[in-house]
Amino acid sequence: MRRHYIVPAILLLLTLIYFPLRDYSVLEPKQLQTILVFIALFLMLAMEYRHRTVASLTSLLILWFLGILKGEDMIHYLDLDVLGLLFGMMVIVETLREARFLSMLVRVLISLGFRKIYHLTIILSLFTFITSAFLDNATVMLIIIPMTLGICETLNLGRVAVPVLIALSISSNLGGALTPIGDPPNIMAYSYLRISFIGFILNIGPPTLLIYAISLVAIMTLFRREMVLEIRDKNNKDKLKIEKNSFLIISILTLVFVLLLFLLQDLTKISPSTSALYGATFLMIIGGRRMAPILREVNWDLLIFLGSILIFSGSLEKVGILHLLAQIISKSTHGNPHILITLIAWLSSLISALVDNIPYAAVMIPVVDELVGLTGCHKLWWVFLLSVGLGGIATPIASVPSLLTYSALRDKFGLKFLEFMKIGLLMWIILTLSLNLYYLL
Amino acid sequence: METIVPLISFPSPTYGLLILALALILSSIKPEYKALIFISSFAIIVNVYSLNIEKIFIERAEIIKIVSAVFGLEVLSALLNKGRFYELISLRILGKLRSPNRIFILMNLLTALLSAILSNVLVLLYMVLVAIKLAECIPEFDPRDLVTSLIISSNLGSMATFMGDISNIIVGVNGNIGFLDFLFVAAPISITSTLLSLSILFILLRRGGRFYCEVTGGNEIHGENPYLIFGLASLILMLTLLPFSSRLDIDDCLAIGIMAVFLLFLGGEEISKVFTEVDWPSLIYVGTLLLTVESINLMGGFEILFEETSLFRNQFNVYFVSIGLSMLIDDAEAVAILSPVLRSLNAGRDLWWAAIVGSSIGSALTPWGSIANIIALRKLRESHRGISIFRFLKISILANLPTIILAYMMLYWGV
Repeated sequence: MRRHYIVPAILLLLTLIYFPLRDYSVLEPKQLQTILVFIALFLMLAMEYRHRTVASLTSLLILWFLGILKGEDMIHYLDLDVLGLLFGMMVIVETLREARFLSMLVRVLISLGFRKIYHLTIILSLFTFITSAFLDNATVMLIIIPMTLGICETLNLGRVAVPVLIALSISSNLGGALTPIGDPPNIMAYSYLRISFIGFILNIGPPTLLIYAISLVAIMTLFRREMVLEIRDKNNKDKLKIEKNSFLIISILTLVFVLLLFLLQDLTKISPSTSALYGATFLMIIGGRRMAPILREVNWDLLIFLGSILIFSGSLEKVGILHLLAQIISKSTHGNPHILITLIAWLSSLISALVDNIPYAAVMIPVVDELVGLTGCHKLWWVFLLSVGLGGIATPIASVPSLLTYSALRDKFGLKFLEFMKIGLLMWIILTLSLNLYYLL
Repeated sequence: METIVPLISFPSPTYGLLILALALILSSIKPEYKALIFISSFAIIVNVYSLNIEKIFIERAEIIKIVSAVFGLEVLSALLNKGRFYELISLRILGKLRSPNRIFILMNLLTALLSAILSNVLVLLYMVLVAIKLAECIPEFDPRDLVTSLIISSNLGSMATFMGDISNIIVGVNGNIGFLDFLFVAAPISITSTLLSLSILFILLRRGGRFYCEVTGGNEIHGENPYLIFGLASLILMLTLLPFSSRLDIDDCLAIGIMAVFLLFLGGEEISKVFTEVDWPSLIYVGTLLLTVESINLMGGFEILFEETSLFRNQFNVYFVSIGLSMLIDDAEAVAILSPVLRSLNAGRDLWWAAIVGSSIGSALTPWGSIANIIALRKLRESHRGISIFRFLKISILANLPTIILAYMMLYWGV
């Protein structure tokens, strides 16, 4: 309840300090106003003072009232490519979920039969990593968590489920960083960079795979006692009962077609957002009555939030704050790529661990672009995107996969916040260090 | 002003018109898929003509204004719905009244009044639930005639204010008619039409006798219900501040949307979460419907259609075309099609009023005239008391024929 008093008090303070700052600061009034509104927004998002979309829309309206943003600016900064890609993929993913695509995959996995806990962990983790690379992380985790808990219960594994689920949460966060469509920050950067789908994966893929392998080794080492336990129950092959489902086949084919369009972007010249919207439109026409509830299930809230944050980021760019920030970072690191890589890696993962990574990514993408322009160090893009993804594993509230995993473990095994965070922080340090070293060496 | 030039000259705008016609037919047959249908149509049109969506938004800023106003009204409806406003009002009616005729009159008047300021869909839905509850409580009570009259009252009542219906907002924005202007002209026509049709309906459908329906609840209106209190306060605030928006040089539509965001923000953490309960598909439907129509208009589609005709230069014609279209398709779709035509003719306000009054009356004439009608009648059908199309048309035509004439006379002499 404290935040209900603290946040308004800080908001009031921010309003009051504007006047002395205006007189003594080197910044122009509009720059100062934008920074103060930005701090207020970040504070509200970090402390969950209001529903995040309402907070971001209110901040935009304040910028509009202050004359910093105009109607045309809002349309200009609203990157329809990002929103189109996200909307298209949301429709496709929701359709796949409705068609029970993930359940079918998990059933196939169960039918494989596992001998030791680490077999189970590696298979499920690989599955989560790969599916999170192409589908929404929340959807993947919402399917995989109950399935894993069900498997562990069937096999009488008890609290052994804790390391298994933590491994899955980390895999989901890392999987999201693997492809341009894995996570909203990647989607934003993908649209901004105008790079090919394959080009994106070729750049970010090797370090992501390496970090993923390190994460598995780290989990195996941390929970070595649990991992070597034998699984005695072998009667799990009967779980493979896959019903015939033509809608599922159509949905899978659509996803494959859209992914093919992504891969052949250089050849077809069809933008990723158009490809995703082709797939979504096709499903909407073909899906018939199934699609009306799916359309309702689309995360409209996230789309509007992302749209408002993109506009906000545009306003920071418009008043020249992002340029200033890039200059400050470049000067303070003397343009040294090694220092810049280290700074971006730790700062980005730390901030993403504390607040929503969407606004942070929206603000930082133009800054990283300018830093790349100033230093010529293209690695900064990939350091930035990976570290934003890594931040999600540090605390139970840092990302949706972590939050869902923590909630399930708390409800099922009474796992405490600090217990989860202890493992999360340790993994975060190991993996961010690995990322840092990968790009330095 | 920069015009949108397609990257390729083929295909001709006629294809756009055909896609729109198909979408309108599909949306009338399957109203529950309206959002899906118009998203798909818009996507097809954008791809066929290689249109730049950003340019459409910049060139047709009215779309954003309309969506902003609809968003504001949806927030208000979501707040009141979460506060069980409609349910509590309904329970109170049931608990207080004894005579079927009083119930008939009060429910119709209340429906018309609430429809003037809130979403018709929700108002009608809850009023239909009251009618069904009455039928459950009193076996000899037949709710079908009451529901038919409620549909008529809701459509005629919604004509009264700028925020009464999506079609009003579309016309208000395109015809540059402010909140107060709308109120001063449309409200008298709405009130007169509602009273006239209600009188006819009363003569046609009145019932004798007395009854009592035992109901519990309804007292929460005074109790702990932050959503209800905040929702009502927001409604009052909106109605109080909207008349001043033009003086503050803020567009009425934007003012509704802006107020909704600030109200959600100021209402506290729980109130702000109502944001997620907004009916997004409805909002997407309005947005994509307007985008589809405006895209076709920008491609010259409507010019082809109305090039040789002077049909829309006359108030009488616009009025009856509007009635006819609204009888066949949703009233919002009808005015969305009429708007670019009237705009291209630089239509005076008399023509815009004809469009809005015509669409409101037209939508009251058929069971499929508006989405609210369809939902209300479906709810009735689910309670195994469905009404036949013939019976609905018989009552609605009898009740609305004098209204059509009276409203036209008021338009002709009054505006």
